[in-house]
Amino acid sequence: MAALLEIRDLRIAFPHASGMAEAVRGVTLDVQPGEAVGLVGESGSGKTLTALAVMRLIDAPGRIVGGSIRFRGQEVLSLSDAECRRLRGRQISMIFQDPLTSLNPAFTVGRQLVDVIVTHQGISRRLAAARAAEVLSVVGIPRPERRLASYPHEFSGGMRQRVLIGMAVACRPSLLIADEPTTALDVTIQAQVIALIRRLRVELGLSVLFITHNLDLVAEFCDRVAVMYAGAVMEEAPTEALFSTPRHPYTRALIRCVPRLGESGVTLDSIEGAPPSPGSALAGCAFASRCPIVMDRCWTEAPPLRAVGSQRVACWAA
Amino acid sequence: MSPASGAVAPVVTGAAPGLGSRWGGLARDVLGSRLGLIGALLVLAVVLAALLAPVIAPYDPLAVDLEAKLQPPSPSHLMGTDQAGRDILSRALWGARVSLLVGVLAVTIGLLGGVVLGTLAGFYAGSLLEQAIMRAVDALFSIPLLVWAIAVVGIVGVGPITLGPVSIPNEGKVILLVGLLYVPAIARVTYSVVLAESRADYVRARRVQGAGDLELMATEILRNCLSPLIVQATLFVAIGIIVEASLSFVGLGVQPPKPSWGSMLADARGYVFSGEWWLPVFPGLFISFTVIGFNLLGDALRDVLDPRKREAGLVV
Repeated sequence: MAALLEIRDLRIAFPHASGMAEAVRGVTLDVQPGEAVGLVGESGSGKTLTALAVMRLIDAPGRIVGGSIRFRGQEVLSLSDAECRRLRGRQISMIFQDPLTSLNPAFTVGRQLVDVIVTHQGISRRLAAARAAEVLSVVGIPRPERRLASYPHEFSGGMRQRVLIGMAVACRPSLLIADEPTTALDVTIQAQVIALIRRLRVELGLSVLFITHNLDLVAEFCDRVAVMYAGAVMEEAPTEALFSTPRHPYTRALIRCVPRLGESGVTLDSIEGAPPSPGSALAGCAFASRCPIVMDRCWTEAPPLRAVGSQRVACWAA
Repeated sequence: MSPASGAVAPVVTGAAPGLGSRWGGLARDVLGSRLGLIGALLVLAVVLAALLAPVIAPYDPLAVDLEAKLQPPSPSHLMGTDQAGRDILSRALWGARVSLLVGVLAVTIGLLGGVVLGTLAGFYAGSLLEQAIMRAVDALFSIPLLVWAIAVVGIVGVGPITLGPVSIPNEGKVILLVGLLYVPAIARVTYSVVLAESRADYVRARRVQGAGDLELMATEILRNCLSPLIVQATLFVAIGIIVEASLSFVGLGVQPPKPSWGSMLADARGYVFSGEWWLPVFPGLFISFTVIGFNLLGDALRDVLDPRKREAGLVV
């Protein structure tokens, strides 16, 4: 089956004191129809940039300097602005980390939902309002007709994220990009929101690109996981394989950093050092300076992403 | 690594004083502060005076009665009469029309131009367009408004401009001029708020949903920039009234015999020290109270619409 989304060798750069600094350095990633793919990595590893690039929403002065992004076989990077707008919201939707600030405080939730629906479906506002109520009930907001007239500040954080998810799926997109959708929510609400996205996935046949730094959520939610570090994919594997046989030393270190219930008196692992700063020239592997099994070769030659069983790893030692 | 950020879900307590949702609440808050109430009453009084001048003015403001010139305030002339025997109260009431007209129309023109330019510059921050607009604004800003106004009217002249059947009196020129001179100031205010709002998450969210630039600017962003603009517009009405009075005072504004507060003050110059105190005092009080009224109202609006206070309703 052809992949829904194919990202090939994506490079995104920002102007820097000494020329352009690449914040995303050759990301390659596929999302199959109906699949949930996790994109994990620490802050600044380029997860969100990669996602925004798919929407063609990299803010200046940042720029996509190389690679290709194909959605349903169509090259996204060569679309016109108008074509991009038709893609956004209708084909690909995105939800963000902070549901508190992602809704316009000045308008009712109903009006904002209607705006999205009208933008893409060109139906009358009256019809769109009925559809908006339907959407709210789908995302589990009680008394949707009444809630349409409420302002964002009258909703709790979890409810707002539900509204945003509703807006994201209102036009039946085939891909939902969820950028840390639960980070700003407390744990019980987190579980509800994840359950909601999971249900919508089944009901709407959504593919999901799930960006997070929370490995537990990935294990629970995703079919496949890509681990990013310093702007590149270090390892990509089916979720089960990634957790049972992590092949990249960075993946192994990440998994060790997750606290486990019942492990008392054990010092929680952390990874020594810090990621390379963007703009620093990297001749070899980006992880070399923090890697416990670093070899001479790692300093001079960047390892390509290559298949090892069902997994793909960018490590000379794998 | 579970709840990695340790962020606590924000709780909404009570009703946040959301901007815009309720204009009624806004009015209540403004009138609830003592200074806001005083400002609103003063503004209301001037507006009523201007609207009702033909009805409530006891005399024709242009009627000369040399028998009754320079009379002190009395039951028949509550504010006395001027050197041509014209009733000062009637002239002052009619003068309110010009003052308000200039203040309000000039701000309207300033808003039309300034909001468009400021929004474009703020939305396309970092672009050549931003630089072009904002540097032009800086350049215009370097010369004070009143100096501009005197220079331009001085060059153009004070005569009416005739366009076919319509004859535009000098006030029209003053309105247009002051309005154009407001554009840079309003553009700056708009620019600063749009610059901040354009980076808000909800703008990014709407963009992701497929909204175009024009839609984002015209609806989403401007709606959230309204409050500082309302405050500024109110304060600018007051400045416009002062500029009109100043121009009329130096003979470059409203032309005699039409009544205007500024020209009434100019006519009264010769009587300040000769005992006819009512000639300068009453027009001066009209100007002062009107300007104070708009300023108090603007300050009260600013207090109520202050973004920090708006957020105070949200316990995050």
